[in-house]
Amino acid sequence: MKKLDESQLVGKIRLGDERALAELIDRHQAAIARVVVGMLGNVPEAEDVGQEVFLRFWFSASHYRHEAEVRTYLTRIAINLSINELNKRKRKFGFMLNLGTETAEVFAAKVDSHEQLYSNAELIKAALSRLDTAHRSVVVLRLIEGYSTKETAEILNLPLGTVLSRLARAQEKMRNIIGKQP
Amino acid sequence: MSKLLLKSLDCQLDEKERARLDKALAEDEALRQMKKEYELMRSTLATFEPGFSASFNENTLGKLGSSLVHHQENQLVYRFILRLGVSAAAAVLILLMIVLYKEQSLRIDSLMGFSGLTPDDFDNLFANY
Repeated sequence: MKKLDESQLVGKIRLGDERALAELIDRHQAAIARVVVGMLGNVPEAEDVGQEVFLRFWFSASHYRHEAEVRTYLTRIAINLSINELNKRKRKFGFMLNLGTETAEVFAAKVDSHEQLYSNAELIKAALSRLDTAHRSVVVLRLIEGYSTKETAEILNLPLGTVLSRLARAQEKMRNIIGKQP
Repeated sequence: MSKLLLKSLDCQLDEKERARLDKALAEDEALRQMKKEYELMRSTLATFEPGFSASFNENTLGKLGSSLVHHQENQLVYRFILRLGVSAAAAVLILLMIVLYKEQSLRIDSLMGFSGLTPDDFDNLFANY
Protein backbone atom coordinates (compact mmCIF):
# COMPACT_ATOMS: atom_id res chain seq x y z
CA MET A 1 0.00 0.00 0.00
CA LYS A 2 1.30 3.44 -0.97
CA LYS A 3 2.46 5.45 2.05
CA LEU A 4 -0.68 7.30 3.06
CA ASP A 5 -0.96 10.05 5.63
CA GLU A 6 -3.01 9.36 8.72
CA SER A 7 -6.18 11.09 7.56
CA GLN A 8 -6.17 9.16 4.27
CA LEU A 9 -5.64 5.97 6.21
CA VAL A 10 -8.57 6.76 8.51
CA GLY A 11 -10.67 7.59 5.45
CA LYS A 12 -9.96 4.14 4.02
CA ILE A 13 -10.72 2.47 7.35
CA ARG A 14 -14.08 4.24 7.37
CA LEU A 15 -14.78 2.67 3.99
CA GLY A 16 -14.02 -0.76 5.42
CA ASP A 17 -10.54 -1.28 3.97
CA GLU A 18 -8.87 -3.94 6.13
CA ARG A 19 -5.46 -3.34 4.54
CA ALA A 20 -5.63 0.23 5.85
CA LEU A 21 -6.26 -1.14 9.34
CA ALA A 22 -3.27 -3.46 8.96
CA GLU A 23 -1.15 -0.44 8.02
CA LEU A 24 -2.46 1.52 11.02
CA ILE A 25 -1.63 -1.42 13.31
CA ASP A 26 1.90 -1.56 11.90
CA ARG A 27 2.40 2.12 12.57
CA HIS A 28 1.01 2.22 16.10
CA GLN A 29 1.29 -1.19 17.70
CA ALA A 30 4.60 -0.38 19.39
CA ALA A 31 3.11 2.67 21.11
CA ILE A 32 0.00 0.74 22.12
CA ALA A 33 2.14 -2.12 23.45
CA ARG A 34 4.08 0.32 25.65
CA VAL A 35 0.85 1.71 27.07
CA VAL A 36 -0.97 -1.59 27.56
CA VAL A 37 2.00 -3.61 28.84
CA GLY A 38 3.01 -0.65 31.00
CA MET A 39 -0.44 -0.68 32.57
CA LEU A 40 -1.11 -4.42 32.78
CA GLY A 41 2.36 -5.92 32.87
CA ASN A 42 3.59 -8.61 30.51
CA VAL A 43 0.49 -10.81 30.73
CA PRO A 44 -1.44 -12.69 28.01
CA GLU A 45 -4.42 -10.34 28.38
CA ALA A 46 -2.22 -7.43 27.27
CA GLU A 47 -2.30 -8.66 23.69
CA ASP A 48 -6.10 -9.09 23.79
CA VAL A 49 -6.47 -5.54 25.06
CA GLY A 50 -4.09 -4.34 22.33
CA GLN A 51 -6.23 -6.04 19.67
CA GLU A 52 -9.38 -4.59 21.19
CA VAL A 53 -7.88 -1.08 20.89
CA PHE A 54 -7.62 -1.40 17.11
CA LEU A 55 -11.02 -3.08 16.80
CA ARG A 56 -12.63 -0.24 18.76
CA PHE A 57 -10.94 2.20 16.42
CA TRP A 58 -12.26 0.30 13.40
CA PHE A 59 -15.85 0.37 14.66
CA SER A 60 -15.68 3.98 15.84
CA ALA A 61 -13.63 5.42 12.97
CA SER A 62 -16.67 7.36 11.77
CA HIS A 63 -16.67 9.26 15.09
CA TYR A 64 -13.00 10.18 14.85
CA ARG A 65 -12.85 13.91 14.12
CA HIS A 66 -9.09 14.52 13.70
CA GLU A 67 -9.13 16.78 16.78
CA ALA A 68 -6.42 14.62 18.31
CA GLU A 69 -3.68 12.72 16.51
CA VAL A 70 -4.53 9.09 15.73
CA ARG A 71 -1.82 7.95 18.15
CA THR A 72 -3.34 10.05 20.95
CA TYR A 73 -6.83 8.78 20.13
CA LEU A 74 -5.61 5.16 20.19
CA THR A 75 -3.71 5.81 23.42
CA ARG A 76 -6.88 7.11 25.05
CA ILE A 77 -8.72 3.93 24.05
CA ALA A 78 -5.76 1.83 25.27
CA ILE A 79 -5.65 3.55 28.66
CA ASN A 80 -9.41 3.19 29.17
CA LEU A 81 -9.43 -0.48 28.19
CA SER A 82 -6.41 -1.15 30.41
CA ILE A 83 -8.09 0.52 33.37
CA ASN A 84 -11.23 -1.58 32.72
CA GLU A 85 -9.07 -4.70 32.61
CA LEU A 86 -7.33 -3.78 35.87
CA ASN A 87 -10.70 -3.14 37.54
CA LYS A 88 -11.96 -6.47 36.25
CA ARG A 89 -8.83 -8.16 37.59
CA LYS A 90 -9.27 -6.39 40.92
CA ARG A 91 -12.86 -7.61 41.22
CA LYS A 92 -11.84 -11.15 40.33
CA PHE A 93 -8.58 -11.51 42.19
CA GLY A 94 -8.63 -8.58 44.60
CA PHE A 95 -7.85 -10.78 47.58
CA MET A 96 -4.75 -12.11 45.82
CA LEU A 97 -3.29 -8.83 44.57
CA ASN A 98 -1.06 -8.35 47.57
CA LEU A 99 0.78 -11.52 46.68
CA GLY A 100 2.47 -9.57 43.88
CA THR A 101 3.88 -6.90 46.14
CA GLU A 102 7.08 -8.76 46.85
CA THR A 103 7.95 -9.04 43.16
CA ALA A 104 10.32 -6.05 43.27
CA GLU A 105 12.65 -7.82 45.65
CA VAL A 106 13.16 -10.75 43.31
CA PHE A 107 15.51 -8.75 41.11
CA ALA A 108 17.52 -7.04 43.81
CA ALA A 109 20.18 -9.71 43.92
CA LYS A 110 21.17 -9.07 40.31
CA VAL A 111 22.62 -5.60 40.91
CA ASP A 112 25.96 -4.69 42.44
CA SER A 113 25.55 -1.10 43.60
CA HIS A 114 22.68 0.88 45.09
CA GLU A 115 22.73 3.24 42.12
CA GLN A 116 22.36 0.36 39.67
CA LEU A 117 18.99 -0.41 41.23
CA TYR A 118 17.54 2.66 39.52
CA SER A 119 18.64 1.56 36.07
CA ASN A 120 17.52 -2.05 36.46
CA ALA A 121 14.62 -2.35 34.03
CA GLU A 122 13.08 -5.41 35.69
CA LEU A 123 13.14 -3.80 39.09
CA ILE A 124 11.65 -0.58 37.73
CA LYS A 125 8.86 -2.57 36.03
CA ALA A 126 8.17 -4.41 39.26
CA ALA A 127 8.01 -1.09 41.13
CA LEU A 128 5.67 0.30 38.45
CA SER A 129 3.38 -2.70 38.85
CA ARG A 130 2.99 -1.86 42.53
CA LEU A 131 1.54 1.58 41.86
CA ASP A 132 -2.20 2.00 41.87
CA THR A 133 -3.99 2.56 38.55
CA ALA A 134 -4.21 6.35 38.88
CA HIS A 135 -0.48 6.78 39.50
CA ARG A 136 0.56 4.11 37.03
CA SER A 137 -1.36 5.71 34.17
CA VAL A 138 0.46 9.05 34.51
CA VAL A 139 3.85 7.32 34.67
CA VAL A 140 3.05 5.25 31.59
CA LEU A 141 1.89 8.21 29.53
CA ARG A 142 4.47 10.75 30.66
CA LEU A 143 7.60 8.74 31.37
CA ILE A 144 7.24 5.68 29.14
CA GLU A 145 5.24 7.01 26.21
CA GLY A 146 6.79 10.49 26.41
CA TYR A 147 3.66 12.63 26.26
CA SER A 148 3.97 16.10 27.75
CA THR A 149 2.24 16.73 31.06
CA LYS A 150 -0.40 18.77 29.19
CA GLU A 151 -1.09 15.94 26.73
CA THR A 152 -1.18 13.44 29.59
CA ALA A 153 -3.78 15.62 31.33
CA GLU A 154 -5.86 15.74 28.13
CA ILE A 155 -5.71 11.99 27.54
CA LEU A 156 -6.68 11.21 31.12
CA ASN A 157 -9.16 14.07 31.23
CA LEU A 158 -7.57 15.44 34.39
CA PRO A 159 -6.45 18.91 35.47
CA LEU A 160 -2.74 19.57 34.86
CA GLY A 161 -2.12 20.07 38.58
CA THR A 162 -3.50 16.61 39.34
CA VAL A 163 -1.21 15.05 36.74
CA LEU A 164 1.82 16.83 38.21
CA SER A 165 1.02 15.81 41.76
CA ARG A 166 0.31 12.19 40.77
CA LEU A 167 3.53 12.10 38.80
CA ALA A 168 5.55 13.36 41.75
CA ARG A 169 3.84 10.96 44.15
CA ALA A 170 4.32 8.03 41.79
CA GLN A 171 8.03 8.69 41.40
CA GLU A 172 8.45 9.05 45.16
CA LYS A 173 6.67 5.74 45.68
CA MET A 174 8.75 3.97 43.04
CA ARG A 175 11.98 5.38 44.47
CA ASN A 176 10.95 4.21 47.93
CA ILE A 177 10.11 0.73 46.67
CA ILE A 178 13.42 0.45 44.83
CA GLY A 179 15.38 2.05 47.67
CA LYS A 180 14.10 -0.56 50.12
CA GLN A 181 15.90 -3.29 48.23
CA PRO A 182 18.62 -4.99 50.25
CA MET B 1 13.09 20.40 48.69
CA SER B 2 12.36 16.99 47.14
CA LYS B 3 8.99 18.32 45.95
CA LEU B 4 10.74 21.13 44.12
CA LEU B 5 13.23 18.67 42.67
CA LEU B 6 10.41 16.51 41.31
CA LYS B 7 8.64 19.58 39.97
CA SER B 8 11.81 20.61 38.13
CA LEU B 9 11.80 17.29 36.26
CA ASP B 10 8.43 17.99 34.63
CA CYS B 11 7.92 21.75 34.81
CA GLN B 12 9.72 24.96 34.10
CA LEU B 13 10.60 26.45 37.50
CA ASP B 14 10.38 30.20 38.01
CA GLU B 15 13.61 32.09 38.72
CA LYS B 16 13.21 32.04 42.50
CA GLU B 17 12.47 28.32 42.60
CA ARG B 18 15.34 27.55 40.25
CA ALA B 19 17.75 29.54 42.40
CA ARG B 20 16.52 27.81 45.58
CA LEU B 21 16.88 24.38 44.02
CA ASP B 22 20.33 25.08 42.59
CA LYS B 23 21.53 26.32 45.96
CA ALA B 24 20.14 23.26 47.74
CA LEU B 25 21.69 20.94 45.16
CA ALA B 26 25.07 22.61 45.57
CA GLU B 27 24.93 22.22 49.33
CA ASP B 28 23.16 18.90 49.84
CA GLU B 29 24.83 15.67 48.75
CA ALA B 30 21.72 13.61 49.57
CA LEU B 31 19.60 15.79 47.29
CA ARG B 32 22.13 15.40 44.47
CA GLN B 33 21.97 11.64 44.96
CA MET B 34 18.16 11.77 44.92
CA LYS B 35 18.23 13.73 41.65
CA LYS B 36 20.56 11.17 40.12
CA GLU B 37 18.27 8.32 41.17
CA TYR B 38 15.20 9.99 39.73
CA GLU B 39 16.99 10.69 36.47
CA LEU B 40 18.21 7.11 36.21
CA MET B 41 14.74 5.80 36.95
CA ARG B 42 13.18 8.08 34.34
CA SER B 43 15.70 7.24 31.65
CA THR B 44 15.17 3.53 32.32
CA LEU B 45 11.41 3.96 31.99
CA ALA B 46 11.92 5.86 28.72
CA THR B 47 13.70 2.84 27.21
CA PHE B 48 10.83 0.50 28.08
CA GLU B 49 10.09 -1.26 24.75
CA PRO B 50 7.72 -4.17 25.18
CA GLY B 51 6.06 -5.56 22.08
CA PHE B 52 3.18 -7.74 21.08
CA SER B 53 3.72 -11.10 19.38
CA ALA B 54 4.89 -11.22 15.77
CA SER B 55 1.42 -12.34 14.69
CA PHE B 56 -0.34 -9.43 16.41
CA ASN B 57 -1.39 -7.75 13.18
CA GLU B 58 -2.66 -10.98 11.66
CA ASN B 59 -4.48 -11.97 14.87
CA THR B 60 -6.16 -8.57 15.09
CA LEU B 61 -7.42 -8.84 11.52
CA GLY B 62 -8.63 -12.37 12.27
CA LYS B 63 -10.51 -11.07 15.28
CA LEU B 64 -11.92 -8.29 13.14
CA GLY B 65 -13.29 -10.91 10.73
CA SER B 66 -15.17 -12.72 13.49
CA SER B 67 -16.28 -9.40 15.02
CA LEU B 68 -17.69 -8.38 11.66
CA VAL B 69 -19.65 -11.65 11.43
CA HIS B 70 -20.99 -11.04 14.95
CA HIS B 71 -21.72 -7.45 14.04
CA GLN B 72 -23.69 -8.56 10.97
CA GLU B 73 -25.59 -11.16 13.00
CA ASN B 74 -26.44 -8.55 15.59
CA GLN B 75 -27.57 -6.21 12.84
CA LEU B 76 -29.83 -8.94 11.43
CA VAL B 77 -31.35 -9.65 14.85
CA TYR B 78 -31.77 -5.93 15.45
CA ARG B 79 -33.49 -5.44 12.10
CA PHE B 80 -35.74 -8.44 12.71
CA ILE B 81 -36.78 -7.11 16.12
CA LEU B 82 -37.30 -3.66 14.67
CA ARG B 83 -39.52 -5.01 11.88
CA LEU B 84 -41.45 -7.17 14.31
CA GLY B 85 -41.94 -4.19 16.61
CA VAL B 86 -43.10 -1.91 13.81
CA SER B 87 -45.53 -4.58 12.53
CA ALA B 88 -46.91 -5.16 16.03
CA ALA B 89 -47.33 -1.42 16.58
CA ALA B 90 -49.12 -1.09 13.23
CA ALA B 91 -51.43 -4.02 14.09
CA VAL B 92 -52.32 -2.46 17.46
CA LEU B 93 -52.95 0.88 15.81
CA ILE B 94 -55.25 -0.69 13.21
CA LEU B 95 -57.11 -2.56 15.95
CA LEU B 96 -57.58 0.65 17.93
CA MET B 97 -58.87 2.45 14.85
CA ILE B 98 -61.37 -0.38 14.18
CA VAL B 99 -62.59 -0.23 17.80
CA LEU B 100 -62.84 3.54 17.65
CA TYR B 101 -64.76 3.38 14.37
CA LYS B 102 -67.18 0.71 15.63
CA GLU B 103 -67.65 1.81 19.25
CA GLN B 104 -66.94 5.54 18.93
CA SER B 105 -64.84 5.14 22.05
CA LEU B 106 -61.52 3.81 23.29
CA ARG B 107 -62.70 3.08 26.84
CA ILE B 108 -61.45 -0.13 28.41
CA ASP B 109 -64.85 -1.91 28.07
CA SER B 110 -64.91 -1.06 24.36
CA LEU B 111 -61.38 -2.37 23.95
CA MET B 112 -62.24 -5.57 25.83
CA GLY B 113 -65.46 -6.00 23.82
CA PHE B 114 -67.75 -5.55 26.86
CA SER B 115 -69.39 -2.28 25.88
CA GLY B 116 -73.15 -2.41 26.02
CA LEU B 117 -73.17 -5.42 28.35
CA THR B 118 -74.88 -5.13 31.75
CA PRO B 119 -74.17 -7.19 34.93
CA ASP B 120 -77.28 -9.27 34.09
CA ASP B 121 -75.78 -10.20 30.74
CA PHE B 122 -72.78 -11.62 32.60
CA ASP B 123 -75.07 -13.58 34.95
CA ASN B 124 -76.91 -15.04 31.95
CA LEU B 125 -73.66 -15.78 30.22
CA PHE B 126 -72.31 -17.88 33.12
CA ALA B 127 -75.69 -19.29 34.27
CA ASN B 128 -75.17 -22.56 32.42
CA TYR B 129 -71.75 -23.27 33.90
